[in-house]
Amino acid sequence: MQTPAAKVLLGRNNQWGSKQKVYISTDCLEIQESEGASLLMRSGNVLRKRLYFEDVLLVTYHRTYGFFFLGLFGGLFLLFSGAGAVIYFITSEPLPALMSILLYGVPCLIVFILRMIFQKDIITVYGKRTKAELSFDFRKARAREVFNQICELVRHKQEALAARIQAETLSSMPVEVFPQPPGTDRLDSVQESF
Amino acid sequence: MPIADITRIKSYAGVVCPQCKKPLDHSGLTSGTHACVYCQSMFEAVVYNPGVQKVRVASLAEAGPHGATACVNHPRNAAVTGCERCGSFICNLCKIGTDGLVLCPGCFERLSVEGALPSTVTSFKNHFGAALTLALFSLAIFNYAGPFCGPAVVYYCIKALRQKKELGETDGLVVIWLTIILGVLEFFMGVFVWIFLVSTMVKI
Repeated sequence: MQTPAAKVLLGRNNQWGSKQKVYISTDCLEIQESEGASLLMRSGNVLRKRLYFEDVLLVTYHRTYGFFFLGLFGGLFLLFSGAGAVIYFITSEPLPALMSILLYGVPCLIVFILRMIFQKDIITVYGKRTKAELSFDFRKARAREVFNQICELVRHKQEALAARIQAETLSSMPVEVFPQPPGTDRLDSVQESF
Repeated sequence: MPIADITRIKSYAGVVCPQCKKPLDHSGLTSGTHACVYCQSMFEAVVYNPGVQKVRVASLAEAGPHGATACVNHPRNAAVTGCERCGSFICNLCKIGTDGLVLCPGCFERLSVEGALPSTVTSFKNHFGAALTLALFSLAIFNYAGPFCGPAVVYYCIKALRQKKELGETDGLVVIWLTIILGVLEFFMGVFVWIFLVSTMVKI
């Protein structure tokens, strides 16, 4: 029995409620999905899917802000800043208010600004039966490199598949029957007379 | 399969807009930069039209009475090979090539149910996730559970290392080794905490 081919981690796609790791091997993308974002759900099962390069229909690359993400961190910044302001107006002491803003509000604001500046690059590979998604927060050059690598591998595999199909079509074509050379009938009749 | 698991499965909608997830017409797409007709967001696309490979099945009548053997599942089809597990003669329709073996459908089903074919395993335990959960749980309760959680963390990390090797993955090994070190430290720190607690109680 063969040992599994070595896989290389291509990227991840962490969403609210699911975590995906996408590996690349010689003939497919392997998607390992662990559902549940909570810590306890980490110990559950990992589902594995494969997207073969010969099945790929479309590869897309786009850049997005992730409005839910922005809304969440913007909202958290406003919440903690508001809480700081309320604390200041109630107690008239600047330290607890500043603590609330600096410890909780500012990190959220930094995350918000970083996402606004860098955005998020997403590569989506659509197959006939499944899809794979990879997201890159900061490494834009790596995202482009991965996109090109996937496109090149898919093109290579699908060209090989097309050549294979063509070769099989040619080999399964009916063999043309040529007419027999003149005189063969006469030869047969001579042989029969003997 | 429990109903809770069935409802969690999301169906694949085919080619959709990567931003708004509305369906796109694959046959009308071309490679290049596009704007989605629904959300107007821009995306770069490379379109492929993969061919469909047809299986050519030779009939027994074509091969002649001495030319071929009949397939065990399809008596009219000529066998092209034998199953490497049970030895049955099988035609091109029945031939399943997986993990370096050529199998008949029956043997393929048996082996995949037993989990003997690595490529057919679609679900496995997240051992490293379990190890990390235990390690963080132990830290969260000030390491009182260190003597119990520490060895369990090391055990699950070793299982995770074996799993990585079996799956042919090379990523995340450093993190697993660091977690092993954390597990060992948690064990000794937990033992120290309990010795300290017991000795304090004895003094009192």
